[in-house]
Amino acid sequence: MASIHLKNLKKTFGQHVAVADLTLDVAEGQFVVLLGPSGCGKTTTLNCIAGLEAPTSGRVLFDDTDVTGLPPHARNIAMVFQSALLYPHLNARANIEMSLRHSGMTADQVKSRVAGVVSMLRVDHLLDKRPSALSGGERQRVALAKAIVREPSVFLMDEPFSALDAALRNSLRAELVHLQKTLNVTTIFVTHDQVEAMTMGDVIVVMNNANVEQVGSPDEIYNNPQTKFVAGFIGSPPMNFFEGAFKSENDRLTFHTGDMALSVPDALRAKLDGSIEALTSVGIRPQHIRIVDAGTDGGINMEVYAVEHLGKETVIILQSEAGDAYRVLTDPGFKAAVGERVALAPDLAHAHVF
Amino acid sequence: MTRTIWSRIALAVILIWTLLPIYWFLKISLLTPDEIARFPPPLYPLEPQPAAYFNIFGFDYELSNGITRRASGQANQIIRGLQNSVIVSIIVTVLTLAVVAPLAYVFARLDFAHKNKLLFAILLAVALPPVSTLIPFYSMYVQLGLNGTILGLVIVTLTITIPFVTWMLIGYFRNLPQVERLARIDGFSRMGTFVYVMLPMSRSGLAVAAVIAFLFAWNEYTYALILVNGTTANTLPTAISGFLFQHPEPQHMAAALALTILPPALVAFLLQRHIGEMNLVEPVR
Ligand SMILES: Nc1ncnc2c1ncn2[C@@H]1O[C@H](COP(=O)(O)OP(=O)(O)OP(=O)(O)O)[C@@H](O)[C@H]1O
Ligand SMILES: [Mg+2]
Repeated sequence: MASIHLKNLKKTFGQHVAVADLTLDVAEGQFVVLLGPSGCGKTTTLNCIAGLEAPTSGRVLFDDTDVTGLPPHARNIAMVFQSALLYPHLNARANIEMSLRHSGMTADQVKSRVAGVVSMLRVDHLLDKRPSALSGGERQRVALAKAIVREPSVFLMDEPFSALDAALRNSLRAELVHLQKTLNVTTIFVTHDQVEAMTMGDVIVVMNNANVEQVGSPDEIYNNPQTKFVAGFIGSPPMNFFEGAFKSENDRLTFHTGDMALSVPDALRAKLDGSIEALTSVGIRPQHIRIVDAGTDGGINMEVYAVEHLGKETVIILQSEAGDAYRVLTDPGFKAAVGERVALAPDLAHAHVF
Repeated sequence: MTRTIWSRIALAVILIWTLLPIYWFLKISLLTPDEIARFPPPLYPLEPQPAAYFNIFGFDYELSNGITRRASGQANQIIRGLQNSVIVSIIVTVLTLAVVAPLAYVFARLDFAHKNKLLFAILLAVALPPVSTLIPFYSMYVQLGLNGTILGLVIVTLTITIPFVTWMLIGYFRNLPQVERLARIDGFSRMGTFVYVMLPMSRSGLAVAAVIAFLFAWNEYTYALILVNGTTANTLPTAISGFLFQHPEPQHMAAALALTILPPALVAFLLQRHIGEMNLVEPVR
């Protein structure tokens, strides 16, 4: 176990900035998820921590030791790659043993280590198979066994579940979290799947465009998004944004969007603490919007664009006259016909202002 | 349904196309000269005779009717040609593999300055028709004293097998999974990765490369004809061509031809598993 500290990490490929200026502290035993859209620099960050890429500038520390210049193997890390990369010409056992080949252990020590890991991950029956003869989930478990057998101080995982189907992902997710908590190994997990991030991470690092947008627990990230990007990226269906301006008239605060003026409740007013910019973006999650009859006071007129039945609830997608899409969560019984004219009544008490 | 019928017909045509000539000369090698001279020719040997196979190795052979088929006057040439062919082919195969495996690996999996230009140079070497370099090689060899030597033939054959097999293996190496990262995490050095991970992993590709290099060296005729024909370094293909100008003994020539297809057939048979494994249809990307 080790804590990880990234100090002003920067990585460029020629002119292209993959990671801009990343500073991050990961406590011992923490499960940290790097979350962000494709190409935002997650893998590059992970590779810098692993030692597979040399950072352009900045430092990587494990505990108090500067490991920036050390090769991967000297860092005592284990890594699981996308779609469970294994040596294709070796069977599962040989693949797992490869992790200990340069560890200086005797054959007996290797044997007992492997035996322990194999029973922990229940891959005994797979040991004589080549990776091509394993299913996706089996391959993933063998890859995990290969990582764990080193007893590393840091686990690094790059979208290990991205090639699996939803059900398998679910069960492996739980298994991995359980394993991580049992072994208490500091883990950095890269994904672009927000559900994966929310369910697994102690801490989520949301990245975008080579930069960190926000670091926080899943709760913080969801309930207090610091930037508009985080607000829109986390949550499904995604948050709705209304562009407009706050106006203060004789002690009454209103939010003007389009030709509508919505009065601002005290809850939101307290959050604004006087800093009212002329033009802002107000975000409201789909569950904090109601659909009311067209023309209702305090409602924004729209047309029903599509209806998505999710079983537990229904998502109504509305289209404004300007052509913007808005999503509203309703009870499963809610009836709406495509093309119907309705109005949308946001609950500004739950609004996020950016 | 119609598709299977057509593919079967296509398969049958291909089989006849490749196997019929082989059958024909194998048959001739088992006939006696007067049977060969008969018209129409017999479609199969009525009384198969191994006589020709003894004759080309310098042995007389007595037929069941008491007639003795005399040893071929070419026997010495054939035996020496066979020896030389085996030596040249094995040396070329080993050297080609030794050079090509690291070369193709580096081109396929590592980045370095001027990579594309160097790749293009290899392609150019592949595209060059061998005959175009024949005369320069000849005059150079005369000065170096390499004419009529096995060493000279090996060198000139390598100039063809190395670029060609490199080009072919680059495509193979490119399609292998990115295990280098895995190997680095496991503590392998660059060299260690190549030797202990990449080479064992690419057995199939290397096997096919070996077959191609071997077949090329074994079948090589043009260079051998100019550089070593009529010398002690003569190889089997050119030695056989000597039959064309001899007193006509078609069964000897056919038996010698059978000899030439034997090693390639054997090599292909032993390595067929790997040939199937390696998808040669995969384009070089
Ligand atoms: N070896 C490289 N050479 C040049 N550019 C690179 C290299 N590796 C990554 N990049 C670029 O750096 C940026 C970040 O890449 P990175 O692989 O870290 O993204 P990512 O967040 O992991 O994305 P994904 O979710 O698609 O895996 C991308 O724009 C990518 O094109
Ligand atoms: Mg990535």
